[in-house]
Amino acid sequence: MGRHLSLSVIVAVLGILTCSCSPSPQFRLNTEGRDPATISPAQREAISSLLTDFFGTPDQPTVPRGVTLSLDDITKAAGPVGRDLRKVERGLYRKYCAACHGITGDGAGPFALFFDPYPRDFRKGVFKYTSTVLGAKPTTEDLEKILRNGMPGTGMPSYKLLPDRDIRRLVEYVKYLSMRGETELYLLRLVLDENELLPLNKQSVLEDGVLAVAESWQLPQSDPDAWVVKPRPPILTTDGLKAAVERGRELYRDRRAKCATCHGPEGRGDGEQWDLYDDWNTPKKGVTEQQTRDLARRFTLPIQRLRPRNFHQGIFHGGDAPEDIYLRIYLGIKGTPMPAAGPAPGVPGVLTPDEIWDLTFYVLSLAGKLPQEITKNPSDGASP
Amino acid sequence: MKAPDSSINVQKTFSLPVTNWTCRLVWTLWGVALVLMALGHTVTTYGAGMVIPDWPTTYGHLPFLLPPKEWFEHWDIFLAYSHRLVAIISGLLSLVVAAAFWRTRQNLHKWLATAAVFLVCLQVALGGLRVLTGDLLLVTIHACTGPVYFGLVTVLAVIAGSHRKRPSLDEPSPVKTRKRASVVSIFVASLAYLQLVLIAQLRHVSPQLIPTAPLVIVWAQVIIWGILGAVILGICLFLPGSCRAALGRMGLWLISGLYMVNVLLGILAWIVNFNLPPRFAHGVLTVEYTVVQAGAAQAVLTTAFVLVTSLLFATSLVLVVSNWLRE
Repeated sequence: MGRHLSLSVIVAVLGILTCSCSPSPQFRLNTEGRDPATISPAQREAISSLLTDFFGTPDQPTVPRGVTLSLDDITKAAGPVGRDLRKVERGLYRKYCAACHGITGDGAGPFALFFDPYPRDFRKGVFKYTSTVLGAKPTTEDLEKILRNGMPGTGMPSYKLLPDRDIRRLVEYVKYLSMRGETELYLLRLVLDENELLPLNKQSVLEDGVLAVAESWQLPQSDPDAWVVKPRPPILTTDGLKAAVERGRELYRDRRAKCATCHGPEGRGDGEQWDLYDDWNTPKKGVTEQQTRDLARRFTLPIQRLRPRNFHQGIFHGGDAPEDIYLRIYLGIKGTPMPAAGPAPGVPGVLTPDEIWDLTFYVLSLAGKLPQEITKNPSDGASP
Repeated sequence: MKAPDSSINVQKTFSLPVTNWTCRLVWTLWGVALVLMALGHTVTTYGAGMVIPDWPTTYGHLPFLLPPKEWFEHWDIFLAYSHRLVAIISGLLSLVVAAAFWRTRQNLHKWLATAAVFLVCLQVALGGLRVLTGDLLLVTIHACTGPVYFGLVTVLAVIAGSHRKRPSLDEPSPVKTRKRASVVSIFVASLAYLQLVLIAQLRHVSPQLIPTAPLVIVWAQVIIWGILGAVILGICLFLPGSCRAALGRMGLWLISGLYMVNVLLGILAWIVNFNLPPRFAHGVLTVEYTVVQAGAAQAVLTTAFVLVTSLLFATSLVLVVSNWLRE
C-alpha cells in the first residue's frame, strides 16, 4: 500500500513538472509604434500565418523558395540550446544572442535595458557598421566582423572564441531574422496601412515582399565593386601622417564635413546638435514631452538618445583601425544621423577619399591611436 | 579547505560519539559538494546544461562508462558529464555520511544527513527532468536548491567537526544576546539566499521575458548588497561585544570577507558579461573594453561570484544553526 502511494506521488510530481514545461518560444508580431488594439485578430492571423508559411517557427525555421539562405546553417542556429544524439550543436542563436536581441530579433530581449545603445533590432534590415554604400545591406563579412570583434564599449561581445562554422551559422540566422522582419514590415504596411483585402495572395507576397527583400541582401554580394567600399590607406611616413593630421584638423572644422556640429569643436561629443536619435528611436520621439510619453506605450523599449562619439575616449563601436574609421566617415553609420561623406553610385560625396583619410588620421590622433607610420596597405581591394 | 567556522563551540555535541572518520567523511563530502557546485555553475556559464540529450544515460552510456574520447571531445560535454559524475559521487557520499550518522545517537546529525540525501536526490531528479523536458523552470529550481544542499553539508561538517573541540570556559551568553545574534544570523542567511535566488533567475532567463524583469532583479541585487553591507557594518560597529562573541569571531570575519569578495566579484562579473554600465561608459569612467563571450574571464569571474555567494549563505547558515544549538 505504502509503496503504491509513494509511486503515485512520484508519478504525480513528475506529471506536474512535465506539464509545467515552458511553451516553445514564438516569434512576436511587430506592433512597434502601433496601437495593438487597432489590429484585428483576422489581420494578425493573416500576417502571422503567411510569415509562418514562409519562415517557419523559432524551433523549425524554413527558407522561402527562391531565397538563398542555407537552411542547414539556419536550422543549426535555431531551436533550443543543446546537441543532438550525433553531438551536432544546435540553438546557437538562443545560446549566444536571444537574451539581448530577443527570439524575434527585435532587439528587445530580456537584457536589452542593460545597454546603451540597445541591442540591434534586425527587423528593419538596417545595420550600423557596414562596408556597403548608403541604403545597401551589409555583406556577410561585415556581420562576421562584428561577431568576431564585438563592439568595444557596448554589451555586444566578441565571439572570437567560437569556431568559424558557428559564426557563419549565426550570421546566416541574423540574415534570416532580418529578412523575416522586413517581410513582416511589408505585410504590416499592406494589411494595416493600405487595408489590403484578406486573405492575401501568397504568390504576390512572395514576389513583392519576400523575394524583393532577399534580392536586396544579394546585391552587395553579387556586385561588390558597385556596392562595397574597400578602404586602401595611403602609404605614409611619420612626417606624412603629421601633415595628414593637420589637413584633417582643417577639414574637421570645414563647413563641408560639419563634424563639429555633433562631435563638438574639440571632438568631445559636445556639439551644438545634441538631441539626436537613431532610426529605431526617432519614431518614439514626439513633438512635446507629453506626446513622447504617450508614444512610449506603443514601444517595448523606452526612447534612447544618441551620443555623438567623444573621440578623446578612444572607444569606437565599429572598430578603431584606420580602415574602420575611414568607412565610418565615408559611408556614415546607417540608421543614425552620422552622414556618409564619401561618394556613392550617382551621388558625389562631400569629401574625396584622400580627404577622408586625412580626417581619419585626425580622429585617430584625438583618440591617441594614430599609428607611427603606414608602410603597407592591409587591403587587397582597389581604391574606391 | 578550511571549515567556515571551526571555532564555534557547540557544547551540546561535545561528548558525542562522532568518530574522526565520520568527520573526515563529511568534510570530504563538503569538498565534493563544493566541486559539484563549481561545476554546475560553470555548466551554466558555458550554456552546457542541455548538451547531453539523454538522461540518466549519457549518449546511451551508463554513468562512468562513457568512453574517455567522447568525454573529452567537446568542452561543453566534458563539463556536463563531469557534473553528472560528481553529482553521483556526491549522492553516494551523502548516503554513506547519513549511514554513518545514523549509527550515532545524534538526532540533529541524523536528520541533517538525511535531509542532505533527500536534497541531492531532488537535485539529481531536477537536473534529469530538465534534460528530458528542456524546461527552464526546473533548472531555475535546481539552481536554487543547490546552495541549500551545499549549506546543509557545510552545517553538518562544522557541527560534526566541533565535537573534538574543547568546550568554552567563558561565561555563557545571556539569552537576550543569543537571541539577538540569532536574529542577525537568520537575517544574513535569508538575504544571502535571496541573492542566490535572484542570481538563478538572471542566469536562467527565458528569452521571451520582458526586459523590465531582469532590470528589477539587478536592482534588487544591488539593494540586497546595500542592506547586507549595512547589517555587517552594524554588527561590527554597534553590536555589543558579547553579541559579536555569540556570533563567533571567525564566523563574523568570514561573513565580512565573503561579503566584500562577493560584491567585488559581482561587479567584475557584470563587466565581463555586459560591459560597463552605460552611465559609466558615457563619461564617468572611460575604459575601452570588449566583452569576450565564453572567455576565461567571463567563465571564472561569473562562476566565482555565484560560488562565493553560496559560501556566504553556507557560512551564515552555520551561524544560524550554531546559535540555535546554543539556545
